[in-house]
Amino acid sequence: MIDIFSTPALVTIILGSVALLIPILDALNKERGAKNKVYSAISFGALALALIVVIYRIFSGENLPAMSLTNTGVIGDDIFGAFFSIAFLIVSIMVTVSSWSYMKKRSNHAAYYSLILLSSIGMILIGYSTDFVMLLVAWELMSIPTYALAAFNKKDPISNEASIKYFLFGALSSAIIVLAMGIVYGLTGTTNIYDSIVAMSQLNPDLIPFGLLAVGLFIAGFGFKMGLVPFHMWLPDTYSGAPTTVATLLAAGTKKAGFAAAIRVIVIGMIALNVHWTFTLAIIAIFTMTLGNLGALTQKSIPRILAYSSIAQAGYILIGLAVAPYSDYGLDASLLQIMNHAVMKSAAFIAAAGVIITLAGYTLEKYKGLGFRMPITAFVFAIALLALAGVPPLSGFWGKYLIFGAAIDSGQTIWWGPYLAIAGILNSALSLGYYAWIIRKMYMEEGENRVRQKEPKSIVAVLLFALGFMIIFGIWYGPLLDLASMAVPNDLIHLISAK
Amino acid sequence: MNQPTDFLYIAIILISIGIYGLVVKRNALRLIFSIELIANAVNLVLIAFSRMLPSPQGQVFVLFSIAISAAEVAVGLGIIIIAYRFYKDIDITEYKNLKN
Amino acid sequence: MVEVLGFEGIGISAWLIWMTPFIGAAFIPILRKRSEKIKSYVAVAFSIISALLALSILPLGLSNGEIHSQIPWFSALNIDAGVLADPLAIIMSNLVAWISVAIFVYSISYMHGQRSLIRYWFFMLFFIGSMQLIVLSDNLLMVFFGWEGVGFASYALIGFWYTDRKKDYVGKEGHTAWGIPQWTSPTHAGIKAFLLNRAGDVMMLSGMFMIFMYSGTFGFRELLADQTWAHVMMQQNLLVPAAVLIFGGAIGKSAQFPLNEWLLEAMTGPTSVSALIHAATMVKAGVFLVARIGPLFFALSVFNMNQFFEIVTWVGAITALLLATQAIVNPEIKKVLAYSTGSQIGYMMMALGIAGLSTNFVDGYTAGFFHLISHALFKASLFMAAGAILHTVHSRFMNDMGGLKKNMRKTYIFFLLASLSLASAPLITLGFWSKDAIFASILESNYEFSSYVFLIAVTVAIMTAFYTFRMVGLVFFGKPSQNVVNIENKGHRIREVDKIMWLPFAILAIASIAFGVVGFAFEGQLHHIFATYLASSFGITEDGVVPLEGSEALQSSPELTESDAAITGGSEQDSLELNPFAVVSSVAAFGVGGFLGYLFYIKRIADPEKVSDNVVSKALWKFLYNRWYLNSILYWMGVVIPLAAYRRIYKYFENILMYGINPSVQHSMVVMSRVAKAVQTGNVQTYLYVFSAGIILITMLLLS
Repeated sequence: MIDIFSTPALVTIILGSVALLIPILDALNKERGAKNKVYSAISFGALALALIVVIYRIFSGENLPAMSLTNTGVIGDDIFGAFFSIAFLIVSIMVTVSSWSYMKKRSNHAAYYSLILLSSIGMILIGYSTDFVMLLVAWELMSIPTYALAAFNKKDPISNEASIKYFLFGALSSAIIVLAMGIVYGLTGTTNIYDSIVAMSQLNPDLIPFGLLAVGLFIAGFGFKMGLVPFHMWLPDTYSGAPTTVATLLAAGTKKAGFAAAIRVIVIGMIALNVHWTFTLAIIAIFTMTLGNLGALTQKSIPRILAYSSIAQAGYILIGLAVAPYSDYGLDASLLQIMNHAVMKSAAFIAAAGVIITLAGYTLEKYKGLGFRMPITAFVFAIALLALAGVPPLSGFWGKYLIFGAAIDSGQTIWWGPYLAIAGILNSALSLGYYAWIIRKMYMEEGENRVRQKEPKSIVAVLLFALGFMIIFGIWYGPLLDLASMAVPNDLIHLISAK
Repeated sequence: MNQPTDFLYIAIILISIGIYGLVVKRNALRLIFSIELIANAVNLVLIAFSRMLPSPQGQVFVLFSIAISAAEVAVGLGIIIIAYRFYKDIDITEYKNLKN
Repeated sequence: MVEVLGFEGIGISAWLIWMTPFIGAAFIPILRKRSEKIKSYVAVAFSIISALLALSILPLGLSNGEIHSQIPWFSALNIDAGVLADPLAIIMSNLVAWISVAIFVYSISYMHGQRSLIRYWFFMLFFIGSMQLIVLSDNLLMVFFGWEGVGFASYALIGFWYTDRKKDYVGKEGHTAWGIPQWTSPTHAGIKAFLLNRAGDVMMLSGMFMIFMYSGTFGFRELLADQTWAHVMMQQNLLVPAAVLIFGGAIGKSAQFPLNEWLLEAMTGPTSVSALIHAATMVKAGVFLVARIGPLFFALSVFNMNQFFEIVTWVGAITALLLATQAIVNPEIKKVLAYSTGSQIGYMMMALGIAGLSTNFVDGYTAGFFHLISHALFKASLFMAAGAILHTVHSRFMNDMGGLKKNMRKTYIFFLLASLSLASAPLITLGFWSKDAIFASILESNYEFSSYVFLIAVTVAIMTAFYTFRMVGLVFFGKPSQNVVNIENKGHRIREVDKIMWLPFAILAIASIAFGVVGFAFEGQLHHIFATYLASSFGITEDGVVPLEGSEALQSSPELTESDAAITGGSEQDSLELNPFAVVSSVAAFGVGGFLGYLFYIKRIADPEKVSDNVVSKALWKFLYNRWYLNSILYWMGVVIPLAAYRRIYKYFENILMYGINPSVQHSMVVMSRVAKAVQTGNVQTYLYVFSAGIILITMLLLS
């Protein structure tokens, strides 16, 4: 049975009850849209409360296992889940708070906030799940609200198109994920993740190709959400078409959830299969990085640049996963970069949202001279871009540094590790090309005028929080890295790959 | 005929039909049919394995999967209805505003 | 000894002292729309909080306690971040904090009505945060962060009036020396300060990293505890160079020769900035650094570190002489004060250097630090008073002042008091005792060239007294200049500045005299504190260096309490005696210089212009006025020639790169990008097709 006081259950109850409460409140409303601010406030409150619960649990001194792999239940209260929950909750909080400004002129707030909360529950449960069925349910709980959210601008055909593409892909990959789970179930007879991993490692050699088929399908299914090549094609369209705050949720939240699921299932699982699967991941990583960065280079629309940039960033994170069995801190570095990227990308998208609200534009031309017209937004956006590029002393630098370091480190065991690192470094340099281009447009070119625009308050608040996060954890990255190392069991990797 | 492995072959055929439908057909509703086809084929796979093993977990899994597919398609259909309002057409090759 | 880990208990105060101003700096921009009063009060409030925190740990420092609090930072490299509040740091921290409070209060009135006050307060708070970081850090790396912080804030504040209005310039317009203009705009001054500091920083960084390569740590206490790094470095003859490189940073920050030229142009900033940064705190950072590493290097007495200390001494001596000579002839009040600052810092370096060259380290160390304290007090006061005068007279040239004694009585009195301290008026001023302490330590060292150093010190003292009285005389005595007359004619009376402006410098000036009266006792106290500190932390005693019994033993061990008793029991030994020769020389120097200055500028018995109207004097004057042509040499070597060379080379490469290689790289990138973009056709079916193909590919890849 699920312990009702375990973290995931508590968080689900908190967020779920508010998520269900909001539409009820809305239905009771005599007048349309009367209480919109209330919805925003209580969503924020619920998310904040959930975050406090998660953080409290980590520091409450209880010995939480790194990954509760021996759990026979469906969700395990471990630090891995807690780490991802913190990331998801931070992103959701940022989205909710910035939506206060973003949604001002739009309708149907109750559904919006409720869907965000539901999606967050899904994401968090993905981090905590130890059973395939649970993983599927959580995955769908995360995805389905986002299909609706992506189409939220009912009057905008672009938003609709974005959502259709997203939906078709999403539905297909859900089916593929279930297929993969089915195959694993068929091979091992159990739906518990760890049990199936153990069983897979002792598989009849004839059946190994099927195991690999399952792994390939998992990569495809989760890779869709993570935006890996060649499963990424929906991403640029959807991130740029969806309402910008929703794009934030997608880019920073659901993408990371994909990684959470991938690490639990694929990485840990494939280690058990003890086959040269890491090379596949490395190839995918290189293609992902390169295509992401190249695609962004000549774009004219900011959300689209950010979308391609997200693809590239997923590639960097994948490097860490690819070298995980061969390096002490590959997975730690990936987790660190996941947390950092969540905040950096949110900051970037939300800054773009701010510009859309104030200047009603999202093309690069509109960003000219932003340094004068919206100084705070421009400044934080610039910092976020520099952080994404990996410029010290911002937080993104440490994530990339450690990932590339792990890749080079793994060169002792495998020949392609350092090449991955070199590819990563070259890609980082390439990405600076378009990041710096945007910054240049903002600061060194003249816009329509120099009049200081009023920047939306809640967006400024979120951006300042992100700014503090990026700078403080850029200088003092220790706590995040410690949390990441606690979340991943180091000895387990060596234990299994020693087989 | 009732060998579980037969079900697997049927499932594979159904999946292939589904993929064919996804890639070739242009009507959005047909795409949703194809996806549903694939989902149901997968359910079939699960039940086949459940029969083979024998273990009831597969069938429980299928119940979940059916419910979830239903929810998913509901949302998807809603989106397509809105799309219809814009384009008066559900030919997905018409939805080409976002590219490059 | 209070060894604290992390933030518990009193350790948190030490952290907060430097964090509070930073928080304040981040907070200030929020007050953008508020009134000037609120902005100023909030900024002052933050500085007071920081100062109160510093005060709270002062008793600890005076009783030889220390706080050493660390948290992990770069765990991969085993570097910890930490604060080390030992007696040296605590005293310095309090000095910095309270003088900052005084100057902040002064700024409220001085910067009244200025535009962009947010920028001003932001950088002032950022500055004191960084300065406290330098003072309280427990390792060289954090010191470097603070170092950069003060440099950045200093650059921003020097160039505060970046619109470069004519009246914000420094120097006489049209004055060139060897073709280099000697009058500078605020922006130019800011860049110059930044670059020269950078040169020092590069040296410091190299020295730091050299030591890090051999020792694996940046921490002061850690370096002392395990000295194998020093052994290894000495064998490769790298120890002294590393020490000198770190001192290079101090040279840059404290405007010593040869990196002294920026301090003068730094006077383009608001006078409150000059008071804070260029008199009382930032320039002292270099001295503080030497005070931090001096005992460390001295305690490695197994090795002969004399070269290092010699360099420190002579750099100080040369700077003191160089700048004092130039102060004699300069017509701008702030510039005289700037020269004076650099010169007095030279004294401090002399003292610290000499300390390392004597067996009795404590005397010179105390003398140098004592002079730091007293100089901070009277120089800050002088600068603030100068600001008050500038405000009233609207000119920076002393020839545009004159006769202000009548109408600005309070300013006059306090300026005079502080000047007496600067000139070392005997017995009643703190400046006298500190300078006397320096003289004494020079005399009592057994450095073979100490007599030359002493000669330079006395000469500079004479010059100091002279130019100080010159300054007082030109500003306050004599007939009011034409400028003053014009102002009065326009209807603005010359009158005293308001209370908020003169109270701060009044307090500091009075402090200088009040402490001066009990100066000898003050010095004795300081000597005792430092003797105990150096003995317990570094093992440096009057009879030489005794090795410490290992760091754990420092906590509480019977052996230590015995030797502790031995040290405190021997306090009769470390009490000061007056060195009669030093006292006589100090008084004599004051007498000679002061009397000359008095004659010419106060009594005005003769017009200095006429007295020096001969070829030799004129040539000498020109030489000094043109800053010994050092500034010009600097510009020729550092700017003009490299710039010309750079342009030549640039043109050459431009042709190759710009019009050759670069377009092709750029072009290919763009082509590749277009290809990558073209894949996104917009058609869902293409996407789905790729998806499916992808699955098949991945599976095949896995199976292979």
